[in-house]
Amino acid sequence: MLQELWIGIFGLTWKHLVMYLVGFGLIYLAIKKDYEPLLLMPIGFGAILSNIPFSSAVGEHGPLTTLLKAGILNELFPVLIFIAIGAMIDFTPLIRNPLMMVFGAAAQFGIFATIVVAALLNFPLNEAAAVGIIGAADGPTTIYVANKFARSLLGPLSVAAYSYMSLVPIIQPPVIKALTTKNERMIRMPYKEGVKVSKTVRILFPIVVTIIAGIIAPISVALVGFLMFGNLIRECGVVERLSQAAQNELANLVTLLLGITIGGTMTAEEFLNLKTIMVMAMGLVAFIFDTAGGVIVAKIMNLFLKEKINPMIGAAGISAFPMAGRVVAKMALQEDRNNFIIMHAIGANVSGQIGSIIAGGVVLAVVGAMLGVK
Amino acid sequence: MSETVAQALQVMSIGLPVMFGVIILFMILCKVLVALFPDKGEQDWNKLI
Repeated sequence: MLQELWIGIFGLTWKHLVMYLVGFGLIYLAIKKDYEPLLLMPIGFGAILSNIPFSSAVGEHGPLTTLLKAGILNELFPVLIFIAIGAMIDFTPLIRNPLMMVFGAAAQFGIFATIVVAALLNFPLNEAAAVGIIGAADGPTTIYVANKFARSLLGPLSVAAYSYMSLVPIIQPPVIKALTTKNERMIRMPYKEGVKVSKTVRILFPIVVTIIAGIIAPISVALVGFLMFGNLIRECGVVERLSQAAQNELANLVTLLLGITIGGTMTAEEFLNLKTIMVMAMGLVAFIFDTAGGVIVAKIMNLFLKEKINPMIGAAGISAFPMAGRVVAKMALQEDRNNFIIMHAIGANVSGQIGSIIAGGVVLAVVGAMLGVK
Repeated sequence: MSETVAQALQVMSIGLPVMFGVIILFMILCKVLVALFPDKGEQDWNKLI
């Protein structure tokens, strides 16, 4: 009888205590250091909830299990967040200067490079693909692809993705400095207003992008389509209430439920293993390769362009918006107090949003075809 | 080289060109849309429909 009453205490192991530290650590980073608090705080608390022995929050009928089935395993939560993200993005700078899209693609190089590195470390292809997608620097894309290919790694992949996104100001500068000279970092890029983008174009853009991307890779329609739907409700101008609801209520509600549910998957058995440490390490590799890919492509382009591009703009093509753009703009100012490249950097950063979902769709299509996953 | 590494390299060799190809397509799309529907003030969308 006593044992029944104290099952929580008798069931406690050192692994649970370690997971409490992990949960506390994530909550600390979120609250004290302001590292992606919207996700890391709920993930941290979810990790604590799921590691209390015989917790009623998990298990067959637990609320976290219900949320997992209702929103994660069927990929609903990530795609709902895409509506919110789409409603928050202004593609006008990108449409005005589409050359920036190249950097949005180049900065996804880390995804593919990390898939290869993970394969070299004996990850099976499905897990290598899920690990590589951390390089998308986009939480919902990471969760969506991980759910398709490696459900068991959902917890560590999410923690890695959101942690490294918040660490972009620490990860990117050393990589950028290693690949560029001071003169290159001081290249100025005067901002020209350029052609005005009409409302018609801003309405047609999300519709046409969805159709093109969907025809090329039908498996990507959920990702691309929902992002572009969110953008359409923003740009059409006749459903302002829906746009505001997407940017606020929908984003906040789904983020809250997504975070705690992901945390709920981080049980000690699933999380405390060598694979988790390797996933965390691979995540860092992905972000480094992303940054390097963007910078190197910019330098290659400079071989052919009369008006040189500041190669740091390439690093802004990573999808961590607006962090990467701000990091690059700040680095330019540190080299030259009068070098304002923020508009170009933000343009490249916005292009990363498109680049990351296209890359996610390509990985889903190619790896899915190899593995027979639909 | 293990089969998985070969497959991963295949993913990269197919995925990167496809991704860049799609992005270049979108770049062309932007230019075409801006050329077809220049900004003429607030009435341009009403005129289209």
